[in-house]
Amino acid sequence: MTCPTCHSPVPEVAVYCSKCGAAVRPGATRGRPDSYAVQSSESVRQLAFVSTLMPHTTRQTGTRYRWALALSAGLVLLFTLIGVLSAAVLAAALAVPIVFLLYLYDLNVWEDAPVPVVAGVLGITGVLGTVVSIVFYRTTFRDELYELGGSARIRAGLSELPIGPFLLFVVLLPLLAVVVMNIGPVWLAAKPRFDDMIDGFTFGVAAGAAFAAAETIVAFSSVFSGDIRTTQGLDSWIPVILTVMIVKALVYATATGIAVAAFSGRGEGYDGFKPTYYANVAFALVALVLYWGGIRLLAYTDAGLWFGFLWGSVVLALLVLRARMVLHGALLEAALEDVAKGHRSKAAVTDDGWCPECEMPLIPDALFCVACGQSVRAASGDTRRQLRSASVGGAA
Amino acid sequence: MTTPPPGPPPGGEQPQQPTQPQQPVQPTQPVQPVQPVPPVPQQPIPQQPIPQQPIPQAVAAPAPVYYAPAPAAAPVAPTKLPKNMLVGLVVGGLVLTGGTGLLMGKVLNKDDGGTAVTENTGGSPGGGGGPIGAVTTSTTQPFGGGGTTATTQPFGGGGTTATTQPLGGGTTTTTQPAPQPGSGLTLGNGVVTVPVPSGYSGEGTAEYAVLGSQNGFVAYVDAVKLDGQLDAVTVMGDLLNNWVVSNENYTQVQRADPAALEKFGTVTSIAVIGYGGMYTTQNGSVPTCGSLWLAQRQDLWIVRVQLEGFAGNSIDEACKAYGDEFQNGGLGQIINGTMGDFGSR
Repeated sequence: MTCPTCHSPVPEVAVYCSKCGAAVRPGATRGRPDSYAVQSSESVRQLAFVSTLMPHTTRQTGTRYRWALALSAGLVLLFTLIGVLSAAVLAAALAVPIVFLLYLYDLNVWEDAPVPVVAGVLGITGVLGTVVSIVFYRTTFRDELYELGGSARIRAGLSELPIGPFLLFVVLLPLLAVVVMNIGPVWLAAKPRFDDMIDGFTFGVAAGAAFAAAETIVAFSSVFSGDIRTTQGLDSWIPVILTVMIVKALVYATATGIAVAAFSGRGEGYDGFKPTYYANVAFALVALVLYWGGIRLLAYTDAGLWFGFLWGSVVLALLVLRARMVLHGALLEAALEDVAKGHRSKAAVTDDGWCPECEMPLIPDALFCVACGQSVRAASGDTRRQLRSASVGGAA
Repeated sequence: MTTPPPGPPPGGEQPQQPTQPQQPVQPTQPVQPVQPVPPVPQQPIPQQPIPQQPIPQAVAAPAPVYYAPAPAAAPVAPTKLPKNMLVGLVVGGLVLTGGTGLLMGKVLNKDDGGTAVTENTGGSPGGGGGPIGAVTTSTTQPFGGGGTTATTQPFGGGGTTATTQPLGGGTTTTTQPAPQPGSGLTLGNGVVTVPVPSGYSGEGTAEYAVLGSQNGFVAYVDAVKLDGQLDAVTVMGDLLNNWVVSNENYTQVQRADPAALEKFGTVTSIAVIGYGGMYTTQNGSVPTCGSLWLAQRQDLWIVRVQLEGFAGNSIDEACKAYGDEFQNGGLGQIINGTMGDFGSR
């Protein structure tokens, strides 16, 4: 049988082309309309966070992270409800970075080079994020922050919106944040070891989460000088904690991941500072401006905390869908380009092996599982290395 | 996935079967070579004896069973951590993080109380510069520490106002410029005029006025006519609840006891209450300190004023900055001008 999209030969029983990932069953249209190449059991348009932000997980391994994130959220909310706000804020800020650090180790995304990855993604971004946040929230622009807060406090209306401070915190701060969040991941993505697009995306996600954590700790540092435990106003802290722990962290993470993935490019080697990268950096900036603009304007309304949480969730959902389409489309397009050029991707299976998603055999030179359509580029670090090197089982 | 290789079946030659005449072969597209597929290891056949079973008359055809090829070598585990260890590490890490946060709170907390704030907490913010520092008080302080003070000139009608610093000891005299006639915001068709000090901008309607500075100090004033007389000090608690405590953005609110002030001019009842807390949004949490004022005059009109400031890294620092702004900045001018004008009509 021949793939109707790339005309590569495929086994008769194949559901997907091993070279380009397109659907090949009789009656299938050209290309691959829905099954997510990063995790084939899901739809591209499915609002799934773990398989998007942790693309090296499989359906099985992803469940562990869902549990970890859910328990983290529960623990942080418990801290909030019993009134230990200093513990709640610090844990909320660091929940996503901690999970990501374990993800990098667990799936060996750092390819046995933890120091440069942790230093480049979490260290540099965390330090720079702290510096930028102190400048904006605690020192240089503190009066502007208070003016903005005071304006929202008295519900003065948009006619009294202080334009200067608003632009400072809704445009300039996100602009600096986007730049800072790209430094470490771009440095890593330029290394041959990490030039795969999914690696770039993953490092961008981790850097975004690190910056969000630093900013949250600085912006909420006043809780550390308050009472150890409080009982007043805790219901107001619930939407705040949920926002900073989940929504804000993942908005920063996803936006940065999309930008750095564009730096890595679709195929082998990194694309670098090309117009596509700048366009995606601009996209990330627009996403952060929309996020903060909505949050700060909704502060002028009653129940603004919950409205802010909902607004941030909408922005996050759109970003996640965008990220899935970017990853999915890039994996398919890169594979199709390789077939058209007669180029064998270095990510292709060397001899044979097993699909990490459905455990069916992978045929030699495959970039996709012919049974479930999973991309081998989305496999964990150890699995990818195994598939690229020695024979696994077929030659027994 | 796999098909049996072409060729004669094992076990020697079989007799040729008659076949249909061959159809002429149509020219076709060149066939792509089939990719070699890994051989499938033979499944071991169980050697156990098969028990005799009565053969039913009609047996349904068994459902086809498909066997996944057994791996000759097990795939490498895709993860380094067992499931339970991953979840345990995350939860343990967060507990450790939360403990660190508690420790930071313990170390950085400048108050030695460490207890839950209750509505009756008075004076926790302490420190210098209370919200009513620039005006007269004759009862308890909104923010404790200073005992009681009494001064004579409550709200100046113009010129300078002698003020007393109740918190932090000592008496200071500050000069507060009187509001310029016509430079304020007039409420209630002339009930009261709210001055707009330099550094502040404001807007208002017939019912209320809001003013804000460029460094986080705000004022809200409104005027309402009631049906009867009220005792200002007895309603201050409710006013604080309605305006501050029930506001979703205020947390960790600490309040002082309401304080009755001396009557003056046409004012029949006047009181103030101070508070501190955290103003919390998704943008961060900001320490805040402020005061609420309520006065009623003979014609039953009441005026309510909220003065507040965002400042510092703790409620203490916010109250200190608030006191400074009250004495030396615009907040004192706002309350002096507003109350002075209200009591003079």
